[in-house]
Amino acid sequence: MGTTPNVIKLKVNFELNTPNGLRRVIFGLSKDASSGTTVIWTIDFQLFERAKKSDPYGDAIVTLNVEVDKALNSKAEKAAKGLTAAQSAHALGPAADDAKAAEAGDIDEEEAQETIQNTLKKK
Amino acid sequence: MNRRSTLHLCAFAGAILLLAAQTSFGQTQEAIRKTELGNLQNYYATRDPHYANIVTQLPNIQAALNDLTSAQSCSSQIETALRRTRSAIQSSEQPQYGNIRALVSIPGEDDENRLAKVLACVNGLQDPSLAQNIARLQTLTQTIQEEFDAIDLAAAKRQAKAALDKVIENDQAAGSCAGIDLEQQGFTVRNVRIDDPFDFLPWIKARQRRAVVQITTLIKDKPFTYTSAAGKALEIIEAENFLPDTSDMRVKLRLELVTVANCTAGNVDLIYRIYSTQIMPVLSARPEQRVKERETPQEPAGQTTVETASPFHFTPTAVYDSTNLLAGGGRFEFTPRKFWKLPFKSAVIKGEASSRMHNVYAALEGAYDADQTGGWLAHAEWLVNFSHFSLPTGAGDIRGGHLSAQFDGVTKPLLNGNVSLRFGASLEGGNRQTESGSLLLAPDTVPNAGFGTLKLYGAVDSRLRNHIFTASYGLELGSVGPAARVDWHKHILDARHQFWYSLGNHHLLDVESRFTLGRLRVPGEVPLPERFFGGRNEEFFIASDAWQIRANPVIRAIPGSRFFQTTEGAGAREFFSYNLTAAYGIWRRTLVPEELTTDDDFKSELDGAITTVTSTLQNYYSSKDQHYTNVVAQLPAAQTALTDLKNAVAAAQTAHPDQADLFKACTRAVSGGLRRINSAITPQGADPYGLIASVLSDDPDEIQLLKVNSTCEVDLNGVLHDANISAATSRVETLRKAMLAEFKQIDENRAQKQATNDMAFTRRTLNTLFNDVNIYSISPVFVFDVARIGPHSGPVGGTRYGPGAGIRFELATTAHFTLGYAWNVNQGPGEGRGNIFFAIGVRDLFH
Repeated sequence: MGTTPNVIKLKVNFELNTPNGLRRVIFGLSKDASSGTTVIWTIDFQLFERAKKSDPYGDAIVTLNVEVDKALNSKAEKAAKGLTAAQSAHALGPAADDAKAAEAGDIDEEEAQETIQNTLKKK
Repeated sequence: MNRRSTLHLCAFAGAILLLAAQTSFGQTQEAIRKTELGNLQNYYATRDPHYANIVTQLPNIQAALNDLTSAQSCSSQIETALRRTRSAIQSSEQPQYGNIRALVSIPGEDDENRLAKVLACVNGLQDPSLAQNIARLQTLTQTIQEEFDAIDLAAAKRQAKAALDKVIENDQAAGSCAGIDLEQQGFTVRNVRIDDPFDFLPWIKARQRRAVVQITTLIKDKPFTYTSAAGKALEIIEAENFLPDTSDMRVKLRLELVTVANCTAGNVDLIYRIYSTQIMPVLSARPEQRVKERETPQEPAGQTTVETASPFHFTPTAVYDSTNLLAGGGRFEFTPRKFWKLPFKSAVIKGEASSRMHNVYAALEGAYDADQTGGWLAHAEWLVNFSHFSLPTGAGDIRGGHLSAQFDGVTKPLLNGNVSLRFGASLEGGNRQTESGSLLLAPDTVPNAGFGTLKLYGAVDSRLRNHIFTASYGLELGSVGPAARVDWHKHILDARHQFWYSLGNHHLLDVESRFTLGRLRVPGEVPLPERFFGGRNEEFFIASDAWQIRANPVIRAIPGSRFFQTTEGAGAREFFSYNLTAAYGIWRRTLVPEELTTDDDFKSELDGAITTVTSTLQNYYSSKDQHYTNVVAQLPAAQTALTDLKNAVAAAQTAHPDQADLFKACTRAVSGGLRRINSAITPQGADPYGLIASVLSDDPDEIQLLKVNSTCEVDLNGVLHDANISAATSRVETLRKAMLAEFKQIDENRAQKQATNDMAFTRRTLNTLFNDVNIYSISPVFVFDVARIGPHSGPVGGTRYGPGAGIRFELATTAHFTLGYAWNVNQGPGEGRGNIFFAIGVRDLFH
């Protein structure tokens, strides 16, 4: 007989769509409780675009994975229970803007990752 | 040996010692527990500081006893006491405790008392040469006796009980992976599994198989690592995309869990659990949808309309009653990716037929889903339909065929998200016929005629946590033949209430009530089949699966359409019916495993997905505020002002090479602000609302215009005193203040309320899907119907009661059926004493 499984990683994906229906951000928050002693939060940020609403979204045009600073663990825990309006605005706004700017080489990837991580700081 | 191991050994030793006794004497579990408790209590007594004091005295006692060995007459007592003492010195924990306990005196126990027995013997010798040694032993005996008596046995017992409880708990959870660092302890992956509650659907099964093969290759029979098991394996699952886009507009959420189980013999099983769903925001408030949640949860969960699903759908059905006999049929739907250039998205043929009846329907259906940010209309449907039916009354059949075109719409949730409205209109034309038999024609009634009707109808729907309520009203204006006059008008009111509640764990009590009322007025004449015929057969006001307005008196105790005789003749002019169905799921399996439905984290994260969508919607409504429009109107001016400032700073820079750091900070702030404003004016990948909120904020983490003033005017120009920089910064600052003033006036509360209202049904549906829905259940069913037709007199027409019972079986993966019997308590002529009702629906064969 099997035992009750223990969760070592939990990931929740929040799908954010822009009002014009042409862009989508998947803001994935995963909680990694692997060792049982430390918890690592990671943001998986993906940006999708399409030319027309009737077109399907293809592969993500930008994918960034950010390991959350441990000082923000409590904020990540809270964000996993749902993003606030300010967090959603930041994810779809500055985070997406910088993700694409990093992809285009206009800014460093580290800067984009920091902007993405700043989503958690919004109230 | 560490303490934890010792505890296990103690309990294990106790269990082994008692095994024989258990076998031989049939000792009870309670006796075993009691003995284990005593064993552990002794262990904890050895942890008492007074016990330690005794141990330190053992060599002294040994020496004192050795000094008395010259007392030959007491050699037996001395030798036994010495043996106990030596054993105590050489052992530890419980064995040591046992030997020490044998040395001292225990009230009521006289068999050991070894030191007391030595003292009694040597004192009895009256030998002065022994006096000093006896006195020494006497003192030592008194000391260790006092220390032994001071041991806190009550505390030791408490500790023993707690430890035993823990050991039992751990033994029960043998194989548990809780608290184990699997990587560090060198576990090997024994098995890999992916759980998705909808894995009976072929496209999910296919994804599941592909992912399992890849993950198995990656980690099975290999040393467990968190990077592979929780990282790379989850990436494989995500790449398979277990929740592709749907053909309709839905709110999506996806939750993934990596779990470990069966940590035995250095091996571990990995289970990946995927819970994904996509909900139609307003349509889930309809009672028709609630029935699907129960019978086929994969449909409301958005798993059957995914674009990768088969375009063909076929669900066989069968029904039986003693008049219709066994009727077979089904529903076939073809949903191509594109329906040529026609405004339809699917073609549907459905119906049932037996040797005595048929009821068929063929339609082209189209639909429109407004996105979440549209106006008041959330969803619209239209269809062109052909229907034909022949229903037995026991005295001749009523028949009809017609073509119809109809349009229906659904509003977004209103009244704090508690109500949505439906409305629609339909035009029909065709014919109605009556089989020659013993049907008596009422006045103003014709047996056969061509006809045309206009139908107008509306409904109010509400979905709360455990209730759905809907009330539909329909008006039918009809004419015999193709004429622009009203020969009859019909009014239908159909109200439904559904209540469900989990008693115990997912044992669902499901109660459905339906009240239907109809009136027919005939200023001209009416075809006989347009009058009301009641019984088990259901007739609907319009042709739509998604909106079923019942239009005849339904009573399950009367088979077919046998409830029709009135004092006027065949077919009623007015009716009401009330139908109650109550079911209780006695055997079920939950859609989501029970350990998750009771997990607070899981529940809050599910709820969080809807919260996130609501937050995004709130921003959309904020962006519709006039004050936001006023902010947007000022963006080009801000863009120009920032460009001017950038140029002014660049012009000043060459003259002040010593202020490089200040120039750098200012340029960085201006460039950042400009990048955000450019993106807000011409979005490149981001939503302007978030960009504007960011650039106007006072958050130091943000790229904001406030930094432009502090870095360029305060810091840089505080040194340079450049008039051009000062003027340009001033323009930027003026615009920033103006935009911020407008931005702050955006009515966020209103936006939040609108967003919350829009998502109210979705949130409630999500709760139902994850907390109340079973993947299969078996339920006893109780039914009670009341139906009345008129005009009536005596046994002709009037009221009928139909109590009954049956069983309902719902298996989302395969089929659902209901079997029961209802009694016609006060039967009228030709109606029968009761009716066996049976209906079965099989899962989509193309899924």
